[in-house]
Amino acid sequence: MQAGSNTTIKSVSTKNPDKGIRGFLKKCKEQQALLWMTIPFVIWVVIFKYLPVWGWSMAFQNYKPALSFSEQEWVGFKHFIFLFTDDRFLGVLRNTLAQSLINLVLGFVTAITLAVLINELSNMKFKRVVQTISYLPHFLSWVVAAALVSSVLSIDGIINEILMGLGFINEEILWLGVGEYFWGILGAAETWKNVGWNAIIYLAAISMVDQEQYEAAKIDGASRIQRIFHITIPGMKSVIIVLLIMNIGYILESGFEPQYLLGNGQNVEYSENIDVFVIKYGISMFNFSLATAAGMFKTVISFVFLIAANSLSKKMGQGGLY
Amino acid sequence: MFKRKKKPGFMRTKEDIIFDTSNIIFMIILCVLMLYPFLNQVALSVNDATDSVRGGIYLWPREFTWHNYEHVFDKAAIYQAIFISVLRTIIGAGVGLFCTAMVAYAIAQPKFMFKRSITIIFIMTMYFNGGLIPTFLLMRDLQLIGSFWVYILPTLISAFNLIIMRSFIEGLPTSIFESARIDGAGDFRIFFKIVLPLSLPVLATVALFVAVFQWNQWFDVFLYNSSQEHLTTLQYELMKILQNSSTTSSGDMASAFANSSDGGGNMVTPKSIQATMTIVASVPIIMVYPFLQRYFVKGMTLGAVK
Amino acid sequence: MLAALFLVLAACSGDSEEAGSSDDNGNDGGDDASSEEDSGEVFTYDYFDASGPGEDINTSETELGKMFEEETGVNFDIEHIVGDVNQKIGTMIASGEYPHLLNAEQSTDAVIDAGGFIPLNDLLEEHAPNIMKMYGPYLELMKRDDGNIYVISSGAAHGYKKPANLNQGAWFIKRDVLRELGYPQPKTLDDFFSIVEEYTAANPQIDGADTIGFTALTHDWRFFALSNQPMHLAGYPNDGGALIDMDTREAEVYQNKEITKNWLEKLNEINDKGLFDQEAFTQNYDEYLAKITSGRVVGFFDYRWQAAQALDTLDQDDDIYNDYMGFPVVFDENVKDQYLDPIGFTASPGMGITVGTPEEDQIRIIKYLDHIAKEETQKLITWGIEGETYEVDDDGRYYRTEEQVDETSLTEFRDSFGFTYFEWGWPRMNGMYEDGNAVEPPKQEEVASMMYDEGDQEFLDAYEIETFTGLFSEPDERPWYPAYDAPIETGSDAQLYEQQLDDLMKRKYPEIIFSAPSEFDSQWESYLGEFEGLNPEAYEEVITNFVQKKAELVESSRE
Repeated sequence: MQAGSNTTIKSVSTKNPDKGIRGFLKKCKEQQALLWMTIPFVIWVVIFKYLPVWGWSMAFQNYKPALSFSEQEWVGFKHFIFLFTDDRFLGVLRNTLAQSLINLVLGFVTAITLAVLINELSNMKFKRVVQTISYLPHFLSWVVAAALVSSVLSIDGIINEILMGLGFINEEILWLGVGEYFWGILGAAETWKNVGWNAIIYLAAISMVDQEQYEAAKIDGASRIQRIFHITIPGMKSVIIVLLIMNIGYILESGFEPQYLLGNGQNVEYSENIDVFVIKYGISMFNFSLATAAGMFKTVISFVFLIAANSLSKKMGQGGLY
Repeated sequence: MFKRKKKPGFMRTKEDIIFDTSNIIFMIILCVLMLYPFLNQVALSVNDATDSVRGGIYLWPREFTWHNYEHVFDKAAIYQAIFISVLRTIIGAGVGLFCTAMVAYAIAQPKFMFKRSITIIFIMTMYFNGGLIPTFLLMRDLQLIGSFWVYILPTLISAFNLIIMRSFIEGLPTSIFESARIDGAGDFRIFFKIVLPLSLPVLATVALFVAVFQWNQWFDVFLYNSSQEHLTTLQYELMKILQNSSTTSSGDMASAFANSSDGGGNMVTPKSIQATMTIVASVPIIMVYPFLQRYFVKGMTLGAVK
Repeated sequence: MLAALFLVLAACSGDSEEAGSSDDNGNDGGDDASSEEDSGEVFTYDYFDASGPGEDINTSETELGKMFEEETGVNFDIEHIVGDVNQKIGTMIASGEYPHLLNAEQSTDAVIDAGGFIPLNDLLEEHAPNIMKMYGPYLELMKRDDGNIYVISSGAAHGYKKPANLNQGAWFIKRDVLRELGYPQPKTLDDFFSIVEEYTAANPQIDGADTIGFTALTHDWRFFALSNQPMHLAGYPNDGGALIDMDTREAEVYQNKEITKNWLEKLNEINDKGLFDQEAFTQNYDEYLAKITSGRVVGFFDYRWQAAQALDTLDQDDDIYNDYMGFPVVFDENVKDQYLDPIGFTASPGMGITVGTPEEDQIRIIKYLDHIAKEETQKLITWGIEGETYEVDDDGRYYRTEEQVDETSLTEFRDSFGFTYFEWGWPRMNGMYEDGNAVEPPKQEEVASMMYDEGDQEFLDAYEIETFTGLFSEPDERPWYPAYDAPIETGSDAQLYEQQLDDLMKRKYPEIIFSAPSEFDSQWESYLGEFEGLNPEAYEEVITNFVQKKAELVESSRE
C-alpha cells in the first residue's frame, strides 16, 4: 500500500515544471540536506564498489597477476566458451537453479511462518528464549554443520533409526549416496541453519505493526488465524516483497560450502553447482580469469532476473525495489 | 504497556487454547533441534581431543578436560585479537548503522530528485564485485592496508541493509513527516528526531546484521592485515589455531614426530579445536541478540506519536 | 574527491574517537628499518611461509633462533599462511610487495614468473660455502631454464636411511585379526582380502557393532587414497597420476589400464561379499578416522601420515591389539613392493629472497641460511644439544634417553626450543651425517626402538623383523622421484586433465564398485568411454619431459 502511493508521487515529480540547469540548481538547493546525506556515500560506493570492476577485463585475458594491464594476454571469450561448452555446464546450471529455488521458497515460507508463530507466543520470556535459540545454528560454521548433517544421515544415524523404528523403511538408506535426495537434504539443512536468522527481519517488521489494529480486530471478533492473515502478514508485506525481489536477483547464488562439504562422487550429479565448479576449475587452479568470467555471467543473469522481478512486482501494483 | 494487558472482556476461546498449545509444543521441538548441535559442540570442546577422535560424543563429555580451551587461550595474541574484534564490531555496527540509516532516509523521500538513481547505484553493487586482486590493489592505493579502517570503510554500507531500512522508513506514516515539515523541521532534524527513534526495530535488526558480519570476518584480515599482529581479530586467530592443529600432511618430519609417543593428553585435533572455536567465537556475539530484542517491542510507540 | 570522502567519513565517525588512536598504532607498526636503528647490531627480516600453518613468532624467541641470532646478528619475523595460498601470493604478486624471505609453496612458479625472486647464484658463490657444499649434487636441479637458482628447498639427501617407522602407504590390518588368525603375512591383494573375509565371517560383530571388512578414505582431495592403489599394487612408489617406466622413463597414466580394472574388480567383488564399507564414498575425514579408531574395521589402505590421528590414538591407549599393522601388498608375488619413498630431491618449493630487498640485506640473509647449512647447525636443528636432548655413546652413535624422547616430543618443548620452526623449511639435509648417524632422530634405530612397547614387540617378534618397515623392500633408485613434483602450467591441457580425471573417478568409481558383479564389465566400459574424452597425452608429455630432464640432471651431476 505504502509502496503503491510512492509510485504515484514519483510519476508526478518527474513532470516537474522546472526545466534546464536553472531548475536543477534550484532543486538542488531545496534538497541540499538530502544531497549532503547521500552524495558522500555515492562517491564512496563508486570508489569501493565500482572502481574495482576494471578487474572484469581478466575474463578476457589469461590473467597473470605479475603483468601490468597492458602486458596481459588477451584471449577474447575463451574462458566463457570453456565455461559454456563444458559437458557438465548444463547440469551444473540446473543444480544451481534448483538448489537456489528450493532455498528461496523454503527460506521464505519457513522464516515467515516462524516469525508469525513466535509473535503469537504470549509469554514474553519464552518468546525471547525461543527467538535466541532459533538462530543459534546460524553461528555454526558450515564445516561443523555439514559434519552434523553427515552424521545424522549416516547408515547408523538417527534419521535411519527413526524411519526404521516407525516402519517407513525396511533397510537403512545411504542418504548422501543417492543423488536424487541431495536437493532436499540441502534445502532442509539450509532451512534448519538459517530459519531463525531469517525470521529476525520479519519479527522486526511485525513489531512495527500498529498494535491498535489487533485490538480493533479482536473487538470485531476476528479469530487468531484471521488476525494473522489480515493484520500480521499484510504488515510484513512490503518487507517480504523487497526481500523477494532482491533474492530473486541472487538466483545463481546457491552457496558453495554445504555443496562442497556434503558433495561426493555419488551425488555429484546433483550437488555440483556453478560456485563449486568455479572453485575446482578456477580458483584452485590459479585461474582468476575463469572465476571472473563465471562471476560476470552470474551478474548478467542476476540483473535480468532482478529487472524482471522488479517490473513484474510493479505491474502487480506491489511497488518495486527502485 | 497498558494495552498489552488482557482485558477481562476477552476470553481465551477454544481455538486459542488449541493454537497456543500446539504452538508451544512446536517451539519446544524446534528449540531441541536448534540447541542440540550447540550443546554437542560444547561437549566436544571439553572432551579430551584424542578421545574425541573415536566419535560418539553427544551431549556429555566422556573424558572431561579444559585442555582445548587452554590451548586456545594460551596464545598471547588472542587477547589483542578479542579487543580488535570487539572494536571493529562496535565501530562497524555504529558507523555502518548511522550511514545506512541516513542514506536510507534520503532515498525513502518520494520527492528526492536522485531517489531512483541512487537506489539503483546501490542495488547493483549487490550483484557484482570486481574480484580479489582489483579490490586488493584499490585498498593498497587508498593506503588502507595495515590499517584498522580497512575493516570498516569497504563495508560501510551494505546495499541489502540499505534497502531493508528504506522499506521500513517508507512504511512510517507520511503524515508524521508532513506535520514536522509544516513545523519548519529540516531533513536532518526529521531524520534525527523522528525517523531514528521510530525505527528502533529495524535499526536493531541492521545493527545485528552488521555486528555479526563484522564479528565473523576473517578474510579481510587474511588479505590486508595478516602481518599486523596488533590488528588481528579473534576469528583470524582461531582460524590459525585450527589450521595449525591439522598440519599432519606437511613435511615428513612433522609426521615422523607425530609417530612418536606424544605425551597423551597434550594433543589437539582439528575436530576438538573446531568445537572449541565454535563456542569461543559464537557465544559473545550470540549474547548481542537478547540485548537488542527489547527494541523489537518499542515499535509500539508508533501509535503514540501518531 | 578522495579527500572529501575521507572528511565526510571522519565526520561520520566523529563519535568513535578511540578508533582513531588504534589506527595511529597501525601506521607505525614494527618496521625493520626502525629496529635496525634502535638496536644497531640485530637485523630483523620478514619471512612469509606459505608451506603450512604455524605459530607466528620471531625466531629469536626460540632457543635455537637466539643462538643463530647471536652468531649472525639476524632474526626473522615468521608469518605462516592462514587460508588460501594462491589468493595470498596472488595479492603479493599483483602489488609487487613481498616479505624479504618467502616460501611461496605451490605458487612458487608464479612468483618466479613475476620476477619476484632474485637469482641467488652469485650470492651463493660468494657468501654461502656451506649451502654450496650441502646442495652440491643438486645445484643443477635447482637451476631454472634461465640458469638461475631462485629458491632453496629443504631436504638435500645424503645417503639413504631406511625409516624405522612407517610413514607412507601400507595395507593395514587390525592386530587383533592377525593374532586370531595366527599372524598371517598378506603378500598379495588376494591374501589381504582373504584375511579380511575369513575374520569378518567369523566375527560379524566387533564390540556390538557390525564389522566393517574394508573401508576407504575418499573425502574431497583425499580421494587419491583410493585411486592410487593400482600404482602401488603394481610395484610403483607414489609418483602421482602416472607410472614411470624404469628403462624408457616414459610416463603412462594407469587409470584406464588393466591394473586399475583389476583393482576395481576386486573392490566390486568384495563389495558383493559385503566386505566393502557402504559409506566409503559418503563419509568425511572425521567419520573415517572415528571408524578406524572404533576398532570395527578389519583392514584398510592409507598413507600412514593421513591416518595418523586415528592410529596414534589407538597407539596410546592400553589395548595393544586394537592397533593396526601395515603390510606391503602387491598384485602377485613376483612384483617387488615399492611403498617406501625413494631418495628424491624436490627443487621447489623452497625459500627465496625477494626483489626489493637491499643488497646488504640479501647478503645478511644468505649468510644466515649458510650458517644453518653447516653440519653442526644441522645437528642442532634435528638432534638438538648434546647432553640435553641427545647423548652420544662410545662408538659415536647418537641416542636419546627415555626422558629425552619424551621431552623432545612435547609440543611445548619443541616450540620453545625451536625444533618446530627450524627442523624443516630451511636449508636441510636428509639421510645420514658423515659420521653415520641418521639426520632425523626417529630414523635412528637407537631412538626408534625406544618407542616400541610390549605390543609392538610381540608383533615384531611374530613377523621376525626389527622395525615395522622390515617387511618393506628398499626403494629402487628413481632419480626423478617424485614425478608428481612436475610443475604443471596454469590453464594447460595437462592441468585440465588432472582435474577432469579427478571428477570422473569420483563420479564413476562408486558406480563401478557398487554395481552387481555381472554388470562390472559394462560399468568399466562406460567409464573407459568417458575416459576417452580426456587428454591424458598432454599430462603424460609434461610428466615424461620432467622425469627425463630431472633424471638426466641428477645423473650428470653425480658423475
